[in-house]
Amino acid sequence: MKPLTIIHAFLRGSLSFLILSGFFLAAILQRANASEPRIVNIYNFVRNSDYRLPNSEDILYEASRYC
Amino acid sequence: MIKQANLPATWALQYDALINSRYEKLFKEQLEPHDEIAAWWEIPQPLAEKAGLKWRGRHEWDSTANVGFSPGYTPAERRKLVDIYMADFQAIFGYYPRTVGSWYIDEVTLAYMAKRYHIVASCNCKDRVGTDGYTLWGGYWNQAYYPSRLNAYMPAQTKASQIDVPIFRMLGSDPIYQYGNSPGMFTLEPVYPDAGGSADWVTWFMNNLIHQPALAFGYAQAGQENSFGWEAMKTGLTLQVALLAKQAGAGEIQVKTLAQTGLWFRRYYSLTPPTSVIALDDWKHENRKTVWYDSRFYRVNFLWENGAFFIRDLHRFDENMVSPTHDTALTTTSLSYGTLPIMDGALWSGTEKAGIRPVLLSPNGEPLPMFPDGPPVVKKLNPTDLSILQPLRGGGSFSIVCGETNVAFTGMDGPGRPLYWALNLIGGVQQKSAVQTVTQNAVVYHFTGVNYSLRIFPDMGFCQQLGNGVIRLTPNSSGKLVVILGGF
Repeated sequence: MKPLTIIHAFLRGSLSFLILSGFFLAAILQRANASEPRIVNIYNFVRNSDYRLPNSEDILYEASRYC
Repeated sequence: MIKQANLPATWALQYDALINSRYEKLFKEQLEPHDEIAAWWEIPQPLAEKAGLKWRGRHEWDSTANVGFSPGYTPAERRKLVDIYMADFQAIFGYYPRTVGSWYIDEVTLAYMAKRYHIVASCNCKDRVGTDGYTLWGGYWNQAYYPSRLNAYMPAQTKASQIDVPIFRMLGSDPIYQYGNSPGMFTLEPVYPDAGGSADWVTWFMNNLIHQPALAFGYAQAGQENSFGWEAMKTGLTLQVALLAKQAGAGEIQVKTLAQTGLWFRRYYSLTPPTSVIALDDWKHENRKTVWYDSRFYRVNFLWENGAFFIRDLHRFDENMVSPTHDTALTTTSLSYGTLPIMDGALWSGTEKAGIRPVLLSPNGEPLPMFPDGPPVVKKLNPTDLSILQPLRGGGSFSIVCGETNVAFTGMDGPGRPLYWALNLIGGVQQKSAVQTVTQNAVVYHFTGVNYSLRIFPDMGFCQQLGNGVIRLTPNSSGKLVVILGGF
């Protein structure tokens, strides 16, 4: 292989290396974001009755059922 | 509705619902494998009586603090209540619940549930002052913490002294407006028309959760309490579920059960990690902003309002502070748990609003207002440190870096020379009552039987008691002040 061809091959290799590095870096950054998740719980708590409400057993049951 | 959105949910059953066969039928038929059936820890009449205890309530379920909540019972009674509930839950569903929530669960109950029944997470109410007779004030703001073995409300500082069950804070508090005993309810609870029932507010809340720095993780608890009834909650809950489904689909949030969240937390954090809750825009369009920072040593809150900024709240945590109901049953009809205040904008404000105010000093030491110029820049520096950089009117900037055990403040002018500035601690009679001594290197406090202090890092500033009751913290000659709040 001629010296110039070697240089070209090296440059092409460097370019490939840089592109691969970019992907790798992006992957790392993605993981960094993924390590700080935003977590949401949908938390429903269920009582059987509530003295503050008339007919509370049915009202509370219906609220749980519709959810 | 939640099922149709294909989102996992946690359903926490109070004992009276647990033993009602129509709830058993409903949940066995309707829930998906990704859902969680959990325990809700208020004590209704059937549970107390099955445990052999005399029912002291006026109704089958009674929200009075020393009747409806675990601190109202002796430690032995608390364990007995747990055994009864767990046995019946196991008989109905074939396993023990993985998580247990309540407005408040004491540390004796939690430790017993963890050791004997291997629960992996818990949740308690957001901070509040006086609502429904319950006060939880000064604790870890939102997200989650490992509690002290001596005090379920108090974050532990060491592995040896903590219960390895993270407690998540419920209800999704508005970080600006849901503070202390301020009027109104501004949470994700879907029944409040100006907050969880408002598409604008919910969008604002979720945007801040998703896009502002959170350090370890950001967290919100949505959902509902069936006591409100479907009519009151349907508008808010419907819009919330639709938004959560969309954001989950876009990868912006992860909707998990409480058990999944607890397992995630325990996998990544053996001690309570630092987190932040930030809102740099104001849904009321009144130009308020706020930054909350929490570690296992302290919490601090910065507020921007009325063209100024200041520290609204600063509380220290101490795992050795024993809960007043650790060994004995609560005898009063209200409950109150707290931490150690350095500054309390809610409970220490009188005719003058309490706070720690940064001021510029004239050559003869007279305080002058320190005005912000434009919005602050808030950045995560690393997994534990949060930076707030506030440009100042007239040039220069005020830098604040919150770390796990300390907060560093630096004031510089436009060309980069140290500003002549200070922090004024203004806490009125409550501050005067709590402060024992002020030395050059520390302010020593005594509150609810506990001694604690704010210390200055060596050569990084000094403390001074002024004649008007104000305590002043002054930086060193480089314009830097470092306040130590833990780890000593």
